[in-house]
Amino acid sequence: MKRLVAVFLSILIILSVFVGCSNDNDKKEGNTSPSDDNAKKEDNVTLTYLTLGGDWENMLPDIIEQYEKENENVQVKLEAYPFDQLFEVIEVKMGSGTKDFDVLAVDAPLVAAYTYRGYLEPLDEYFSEDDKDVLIPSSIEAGTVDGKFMAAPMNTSSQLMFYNKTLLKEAGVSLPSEDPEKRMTWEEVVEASQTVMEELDPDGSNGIWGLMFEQVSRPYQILALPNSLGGAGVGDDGITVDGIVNSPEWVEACKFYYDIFNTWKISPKGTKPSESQQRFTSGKVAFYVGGTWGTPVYEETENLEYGYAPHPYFKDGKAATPTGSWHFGVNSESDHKKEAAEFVRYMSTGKGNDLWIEANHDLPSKKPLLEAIMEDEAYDTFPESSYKIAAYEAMNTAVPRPITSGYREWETIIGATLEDIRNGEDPETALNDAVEQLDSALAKYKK
Amino acid sequence: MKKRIVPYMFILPAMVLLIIFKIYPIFIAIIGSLFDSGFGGSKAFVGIANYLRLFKDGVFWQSLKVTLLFNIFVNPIQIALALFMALLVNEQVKGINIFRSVYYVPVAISMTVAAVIWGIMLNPNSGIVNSFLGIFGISPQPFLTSQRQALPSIIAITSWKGVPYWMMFLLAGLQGIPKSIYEAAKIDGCNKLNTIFKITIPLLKRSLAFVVISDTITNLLLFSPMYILTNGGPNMSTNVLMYEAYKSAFSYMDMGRAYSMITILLILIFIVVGMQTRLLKADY
Repeated sequence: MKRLVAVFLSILIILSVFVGCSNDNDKKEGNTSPSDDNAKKEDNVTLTYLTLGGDWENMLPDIIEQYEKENENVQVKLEAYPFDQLFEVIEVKMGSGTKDFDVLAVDAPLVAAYTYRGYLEPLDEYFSEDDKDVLIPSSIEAGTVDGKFMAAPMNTSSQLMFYNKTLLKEAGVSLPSEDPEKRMTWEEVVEASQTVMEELDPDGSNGIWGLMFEQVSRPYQILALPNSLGGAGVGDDGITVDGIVNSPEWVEACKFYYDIFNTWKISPKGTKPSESQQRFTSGKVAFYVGGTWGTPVYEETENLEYGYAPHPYFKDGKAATPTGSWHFGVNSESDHKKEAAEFVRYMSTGKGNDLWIEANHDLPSKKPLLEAIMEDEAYDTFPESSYKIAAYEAMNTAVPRPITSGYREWETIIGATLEDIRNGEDPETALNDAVEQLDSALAKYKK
Repeated sequence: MKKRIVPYMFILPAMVLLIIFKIYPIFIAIIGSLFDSGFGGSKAFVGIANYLRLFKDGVFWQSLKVTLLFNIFVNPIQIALALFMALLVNEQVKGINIFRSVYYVPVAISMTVAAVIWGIMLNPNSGIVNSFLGIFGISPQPFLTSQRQALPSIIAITSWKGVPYWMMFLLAGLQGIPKSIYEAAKIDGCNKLNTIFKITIPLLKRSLAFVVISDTITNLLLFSPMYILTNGGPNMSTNVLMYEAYKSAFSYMDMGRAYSMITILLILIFIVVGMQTRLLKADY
């Protein structure tokens, strides 16, 4: 009898393990479809949209709600991740061929990589020529690989140099012009930054800084430095980096990047991109290079008197500005490709896009919206005129990020290298090390 | 016969889970390290080519060096401090439980949260640690942004969290030592220091062996503070093998390289733990 009880007990324990597991699964499924009742109706489709977290999580639900109102048989569920994790999540999930989600956020330079890996469903079938005609050519180009339209743009982007009027006035520095023809050189920005710091914070106790980059050490923003001197990101074959990222132009640009943190000490070390904006809004930064999406935040910040000017350039170079932004892709493994593509169309060329641009203040990739910015008088006055400068940059000075199947690797290694240079590593050595690592990481694409 | 089955039935659930979540992945890693995994699930057998590639790879050697350097310091520091603290809180004084609880607080904070908080405190410009050092006239230190100070900073952060955790195991071991032995020693005229080295530590060997081995494994596999705080920088000074393997898999999409690194790390753990087990074998 005792033995029987023991056997019975042990079987119970084993069972409990598996029952425990399956219970968990049930719960998870319960969580993934909040509108269970609706899902039971026939023809009902729930799309999962994998995207960036943060502010987006507050802005996207309203637009999605609008879409659901117009398409009663479709529900869209948002699955958001922070910037630093999003790319890894996509690799892990897509690498396993998951059907967990249908629509994903694709950073413009990664369209080629995702296509190469077979993550994306071509959208040509779902986007008519008329649909595409609404979009600006550079955004279509960024979403097209080997003639196939793989990812539809959400918006494009540009960078401005914001400045703190109060600090500049107090230090007796003249305010920069909004005219792109009269944009400041980096050399002038450094000089003005030094003046501000010397005048207002000689012993460093006030925590005032001359210059900050919003996306510090991220290639998206810092590439504008080598670009301004004529340096490219990769060779024409999309794989060669030797002689490109360790070229004299890169070394010179990175020497400047080194100097602002280490020699002139006009920019702080140790801050992360997520902390940058707060530094500017707290009124402690004289010049702040950042995206147009910051304007509504600065408008709402009390006691911040700010202005903006076009992106600076090197005296010996030409104006070059960051561009490109997020696109939408459809998971090639999705069971609801048609519905997913319809949603993407709404968000990219349809009404959803208008709502999105209104909410997030990005630079639009839809021609009518961009034309409105260029021609409408409403965009002549502060602070709307910031979009006019951005639109000008997008059309005249924008340099896209390198086009390569290995952009993920490129971005990771160049990002780490920029951070090393910021922390005091010799620029030339750091860039040569980066070439060595990149050669090894990109070798797989040479086959 | 039935009698034989019952004990196995009891350990079966644990074994099943271990096999699924530990043993099976180990085999995946070892086998995966022999393949060149292309995109879309394509695989090609390449033998030991991944390993040969690693041995020529400067970044791999740098990561291995950092991993060893980190462990050579962090493990002895953590264990020595844990033992010291365990001996202190083993004293029977009034309110000792309050001390034990306070010391244990860092354990209750997740590594991620601890890393973020320490990252803010160690900020070179506005961090509280530099303000504190300033009181004593010490100039601001770069901490995590300096090639020389980043690894020591991470050792300090992980120890802040690790020491109290291991202290608890040692304290449990200490309390298992019968009081009568100490009394006998006292009667024989043994002083405090001698008691520690001649009685406490030898009798603590089992707990100590567990702590040494577990701590070593934990730290050989640790990468979250590097991932959160330094991304392996500055200049790869905190780029441990585990983090490089992680980057290989999820940033460089090079599973072959990641698997072979993990396999090497596994071998390293086997060697180190094997040596520790032999050295710390209790003789009672």
